[in-house]
Amino acid sequence: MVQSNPKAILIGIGSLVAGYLAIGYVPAIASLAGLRDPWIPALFAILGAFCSYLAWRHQATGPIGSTCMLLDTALYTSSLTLAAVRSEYPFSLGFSIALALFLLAFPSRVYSLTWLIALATTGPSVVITALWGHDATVALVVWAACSLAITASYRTGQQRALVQQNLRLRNALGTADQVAEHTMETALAASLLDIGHFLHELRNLRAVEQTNLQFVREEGKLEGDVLEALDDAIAAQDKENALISEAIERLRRKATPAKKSFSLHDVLSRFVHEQPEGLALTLDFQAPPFQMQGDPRHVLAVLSNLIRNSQRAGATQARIALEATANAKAVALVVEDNGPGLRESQIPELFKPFTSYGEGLGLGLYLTSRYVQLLGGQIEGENRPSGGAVFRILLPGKPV
Amino acid sequence: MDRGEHARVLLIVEDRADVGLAFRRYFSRYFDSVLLASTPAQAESILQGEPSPTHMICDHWLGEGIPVGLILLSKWRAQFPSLKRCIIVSGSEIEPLSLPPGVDAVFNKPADMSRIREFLLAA
Repeated sequence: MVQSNPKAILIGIGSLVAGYLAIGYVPAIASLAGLRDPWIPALFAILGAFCSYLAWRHQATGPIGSTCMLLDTALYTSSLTLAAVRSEYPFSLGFSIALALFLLAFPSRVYSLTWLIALATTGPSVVITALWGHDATVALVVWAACSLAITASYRTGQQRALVQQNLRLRNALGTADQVAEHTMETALAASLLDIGHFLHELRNLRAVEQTNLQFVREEGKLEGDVLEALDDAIAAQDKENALISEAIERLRRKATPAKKSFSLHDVLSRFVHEQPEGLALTLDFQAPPFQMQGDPRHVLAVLSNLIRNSQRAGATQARIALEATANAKAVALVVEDNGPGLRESQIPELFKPFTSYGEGLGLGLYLTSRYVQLLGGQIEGENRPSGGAVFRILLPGKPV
Repeated sequence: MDRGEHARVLLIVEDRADVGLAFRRYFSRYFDSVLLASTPAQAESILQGEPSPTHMICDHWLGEGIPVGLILLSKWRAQFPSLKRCIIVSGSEIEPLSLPPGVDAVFNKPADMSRIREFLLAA
């Protein structure tokens, strides 16, 4: 049986064999049971146990594993059916009921219906009963159990198909989610760009106004109402600047609603632990435990983007290190790989949107830098002297 | 003002003409000479010529495909020892956790010009 293990096989089949031997050879029981040659069903059960063990060893796969998986069921059902047809009532009925319970409890719940499964689970019992059966009740119970087993096995197959359909549906939904997320990221990047350009323009125009007003004020030639008017204009501009800064701050707070305190060490450990295979990833803590404010998902997004880029570039190894800096309120998160490194022409524009040097839209590193900004940090990327790329991210916080 | 060895020469690197002109007008009153460059290439040409700039104001975002001010200032400060004080005045909001070597301060626009002036003239 697929779900067997050596201990279960030993206990289950050991008990069955012991039962046969007791029923066959203990005089008080043997006279009632009338089980002829109890060693025959016992031998079938032992052979079945051996097949179960081989199937377990081969994880029920490959020629040996698959064959043994079918054979053990056939041998167990043969064993019980032989015991039923070679014993007297009511023991014959007991064995046939045991066979029915076995069929309904195990093979039909584990295997989907195929011709081979049907043959292995029910064939021996049907044949043995037809050839050697002498009790109509036993035959009826055995055949009914076989029919029910086939029906149940068919239902198991149907349920499996449903589960697989469900899985495919979930995969399809996952893909749709990814597409939606990608689209939202693109839209978000475009919106951020628009707002960024607008604020940049606004700041420059305010700078021109403020500089010229201060120039006139410091000229020192104005007096009376004219000087007063200029001072009022400068004061009004200061208030305007404060209002704009306040509005920007409000927008920023809305953009980062989930600010909380978290341990950077924990987040990094979680990230490395959850990484799929394909890239040898090492984690190196060279700084004391560090607490920072913000959304830990932003740290995970930064690491995911950088590691994904490394994999796409062909790196086979990557290292994430946390290093102390001269500033006690900042820590350096270093992500480096053994890939081909960055193109020199790419380095000045690494974090600009829509600058792709391979597949993708060229938004990955842009969004990475945005996440770093949301965490209050700064990021830079370059090539390692020994080869590969290295990204150094300064993050604010405090050692614990 | 003393126009000998101690002449104070300010170089403004700013891609926007209106900002650059306003800065030049303002600082002309406090420096012996105020020079204006709109690109890094122009700035390097001025840095290599006479009079050598002693102070520098650089915008951070100078346009598509051009290294940002923090990187440029760091490079120029190492190349040109005549520079005594170099600052970034940026239209993009930047608050670096650590200033690159060679960059003395970062101001965000619109800034109080008297604070910038005092900071520059302190060196």
